[in-house]
Amino acid sequence: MNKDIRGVIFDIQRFSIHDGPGIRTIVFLKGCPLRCLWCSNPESQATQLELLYNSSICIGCKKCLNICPQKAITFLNHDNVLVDRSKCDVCGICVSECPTGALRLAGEVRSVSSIIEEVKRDRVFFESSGGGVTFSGGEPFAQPSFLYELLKLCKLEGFHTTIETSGKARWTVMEHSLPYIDLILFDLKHPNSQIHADITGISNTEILSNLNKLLQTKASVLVRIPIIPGINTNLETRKDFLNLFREFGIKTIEILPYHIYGVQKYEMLGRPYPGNEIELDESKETAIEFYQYMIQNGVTAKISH
Amino acid sequence: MCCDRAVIYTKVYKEHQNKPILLKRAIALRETLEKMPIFIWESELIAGHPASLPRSAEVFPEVNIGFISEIDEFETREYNRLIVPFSVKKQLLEMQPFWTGKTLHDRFSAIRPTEISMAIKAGLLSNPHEWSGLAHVSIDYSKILTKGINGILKEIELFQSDVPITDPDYSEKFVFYEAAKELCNGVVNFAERYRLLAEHMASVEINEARKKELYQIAKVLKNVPFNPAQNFREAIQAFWLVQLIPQIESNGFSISPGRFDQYMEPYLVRDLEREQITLDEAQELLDNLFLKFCEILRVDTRASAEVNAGYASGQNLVVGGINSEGLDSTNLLTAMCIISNYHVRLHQPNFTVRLHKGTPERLLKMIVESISCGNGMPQVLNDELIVTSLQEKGIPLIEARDYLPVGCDEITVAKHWGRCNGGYINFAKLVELTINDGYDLFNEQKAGLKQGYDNYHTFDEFMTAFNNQLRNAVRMQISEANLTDSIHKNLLPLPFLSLFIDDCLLKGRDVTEGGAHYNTTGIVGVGSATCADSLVAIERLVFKEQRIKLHELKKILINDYENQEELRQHILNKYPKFGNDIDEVDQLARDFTDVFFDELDKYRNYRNGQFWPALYSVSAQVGLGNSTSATPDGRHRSMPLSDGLTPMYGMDRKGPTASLSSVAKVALVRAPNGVIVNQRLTANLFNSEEGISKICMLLKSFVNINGFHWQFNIVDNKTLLMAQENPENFRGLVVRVAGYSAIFVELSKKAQDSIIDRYSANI
Repeated sequence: MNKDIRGVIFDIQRFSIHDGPGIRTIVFLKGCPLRCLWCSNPESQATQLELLYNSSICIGCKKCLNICPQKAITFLNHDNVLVDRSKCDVCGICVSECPTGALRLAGEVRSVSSIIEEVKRDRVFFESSGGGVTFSGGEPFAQPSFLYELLKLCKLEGFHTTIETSGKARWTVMEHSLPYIDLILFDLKHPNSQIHADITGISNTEILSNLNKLLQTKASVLVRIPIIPGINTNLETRKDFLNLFREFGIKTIEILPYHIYGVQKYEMLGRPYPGNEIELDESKETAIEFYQYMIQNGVTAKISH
Repeated sequence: MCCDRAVIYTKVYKEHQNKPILLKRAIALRETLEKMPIFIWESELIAGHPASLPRSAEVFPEVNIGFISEIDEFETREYNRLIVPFSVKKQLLEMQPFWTGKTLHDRFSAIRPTEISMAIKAGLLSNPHEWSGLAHVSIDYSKILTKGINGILKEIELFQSDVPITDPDYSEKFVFYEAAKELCNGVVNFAERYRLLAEHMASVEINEARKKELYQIAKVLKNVPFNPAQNFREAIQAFWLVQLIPQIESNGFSISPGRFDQYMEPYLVRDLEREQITLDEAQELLDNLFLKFCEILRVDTRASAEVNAGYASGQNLVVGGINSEGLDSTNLLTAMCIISNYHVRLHQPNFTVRLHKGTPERLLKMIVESISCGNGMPQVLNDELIVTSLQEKGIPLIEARDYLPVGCDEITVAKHWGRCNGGYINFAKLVELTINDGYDLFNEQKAGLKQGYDNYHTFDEFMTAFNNQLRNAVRMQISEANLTDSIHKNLLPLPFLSLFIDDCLLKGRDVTEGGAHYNTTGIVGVGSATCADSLVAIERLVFKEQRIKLHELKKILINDYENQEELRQHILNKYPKFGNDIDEVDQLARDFTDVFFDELDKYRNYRNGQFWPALYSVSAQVGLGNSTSATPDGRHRSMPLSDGLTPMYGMDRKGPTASLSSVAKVALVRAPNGVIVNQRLTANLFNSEEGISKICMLLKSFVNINGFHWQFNIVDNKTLLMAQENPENFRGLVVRVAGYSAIFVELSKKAQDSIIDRYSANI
């Protein structure tokens, strides 16, 4: 066991209630092999640290202009600056001097033991609620040995562990961690391999193969479908999903309605939003339609919040 | 505003100038009960009002007449508005000369030491009882239920005949017992007037259903409060009369029903068994009672209205918890009270549920559903911590298990005169005094200890000076609290309350004179989070990082961060804040509150009892914040301080579990006089079964982490902003302010803003 293994995370969120049983603490691991068009955590995709700039809280104090060794920041107008991403090497110096927190780093290199120390603070909440720690991302399996040590230490503390995964990982990596995972929340984006590749950047072959193998083990797995109106919700796709569930013997699924939390983050990363913006009402209705279709066809479904 | 009581009191005080104060006040109350106009409001099932008009406030000229100088502002001022009819104004002006110089406030002004006056003026200390009666008590309601006035009269005779004429205090005791008898007669006559009125109204009523109700009221009043209550209706009526009369005797806040589900349940169960009442009828009666609590209003001065914004009257009704054997005491009435709170959803009673490790799941669920209904109640208390905290103060286990909160959540037990609001200490002000060697930064007036230096070399040195300022403030507030006891004893004894607090009758002594079995005084610390956040900012800014010198910071604070927004943002965003489970700042909060507790432990009060600490603020964080300069945590001049032990508004960025963890690091077990912690939760959490079950888990966690008190605000910001813009459409919107709920549109703009700030920290 190596407590000193380090990895990159981008947040630890306490009092999470939708990602596993009880009251949970979520550790978000940075880095993901998928590039979903609608990704709501774009800062989770790259493994390396990134600079986020939130123009809405910037007061235009200009402190960052002079401090930046790469001269990557220029003054835009009375209360905004412009970050030249081609020059920025994410040294973080501007972040430590930015008084408002408008400039901040996405990502933090942390040791396994420091993360365990932090999640241990919530022991009383885990014990009172039957909760525990959820590892999310990014794709948590993308940092396999880091994740493995985290899981192992959590189990040593007696915590319930949950993984939120895209399913994209080497099977041996997944299999190796299984003894220390109590629940796997397995996201399926699209049943069709070609479309999957179009919308996430990779085919779903390995993902489906992993899911199939997982279902053969004793692991507790819950398949979750993120609803992306216009992308994975038409009748044909629903049918394909249904066939897949039948083939794999999946009787229960959870439906995750689309939300727009991610939009502002693209701006903060200085990137264009790759998806089309979707109205929330539309998403809710589509989720309900999807739900009804599954129920009518004998799949137990639940819409998450 | 009504002044019938004031007219009668003025007459009695004039006619009986030679009588001892105790007797004078007993006669005045008796005559008021016999003569003030009474009415039974349409559809109501329980008789008894505190004023001669519906939802009105009587004047207490013996407490304060100086408010007349503000009389023209009452209808338009920011807080606790009252309509003042011309006739009332005229009568008040007529009586003003008689009372001027004789009131509570006049007496305080005459004998208070200068240094304490200066500390009050600077906003370091504040004393609510310079302007109002004492109260903050739960009387023994079971006495009126099981003995009735007749039984109490017999008790008085018995105790009185036991006093030998040679007893050194014979004449004082004699006066006390005579006053007690006057009041028993007053109660009897008061109830009889309502009985006759009900009978008369019934005889002329055309609506048959209403006629029946009025006869029912008359029938009930034939037996109670003279004799023991025979059924649930009688018990409710008798209860209400003894809840009401102390509020006519004195204008003190927080006369609290206590463990209502425990002492009332036997009457309900017996009636249900005998089929004398249906569950629906009982629920309706209880709903009526919940409405009655909202009738208690006060005439507040502008200053005290600020502290008690939202017509607070602090009538704390508590249900659930363990019984004297340590077992869960949940019963039918526990659930019915939660339902009444849901039905009525107003700001009174201040509704509390006691939790413990064995609280049934079903009750937890009811609590959460009720909280989500909109008025933020019930608030919850933790038996596991509070019982221990009382035991550590020497209260026997069996009595400690039967504790009850009064007002916000000031903990008392039976037979207890807790004097729970012995005055506030503004912790944030202490930071000013430490920076400026005893002078504040708001007016640069002396308000604290002059230690002769303000050039600290280390943060430890700074903290040593800070702790000295804190101890000094505690000592001054103790002196003020003792003065309060003495003045109230001499001017405003409470013979009616004394009938219902053991051992007053046994000792023949008024509660204000130490007649109760347990005598304590609560001293209240305000602005803990503002103070902790300020201290950690000083440590970082001046000592660790040495970004600026202390005298530079002093200037910046005096100038309210003018041209220093960069620094202010740096402080707000880069330094740890209480409420995020960060040991660096939480430990500071623990350390200085321990100094506060230690200092209080050293002294005995005016009635030879203990001083009990508290960390709450009602809404004093607004009033004291007004006169507090900018603070090193980034807070602007005159803005509200943090309230109770709640993290500063908007600064608890890691959600309820982190906030609870920070709070639990303070030695809550040492503060039995009460701790208040507000928690905002977004409304959407309560939309699903899953969400509700997770909040139940949060409540269990609160018990397990050894929390003291928790209360919730479940309104989204959008709604509040809309209410601010269109108050007429949101007249019923009730929010949690501090230890109590208030009608949102009746709060001042500033108080509203402070609540909106509290909400804006999204989880």
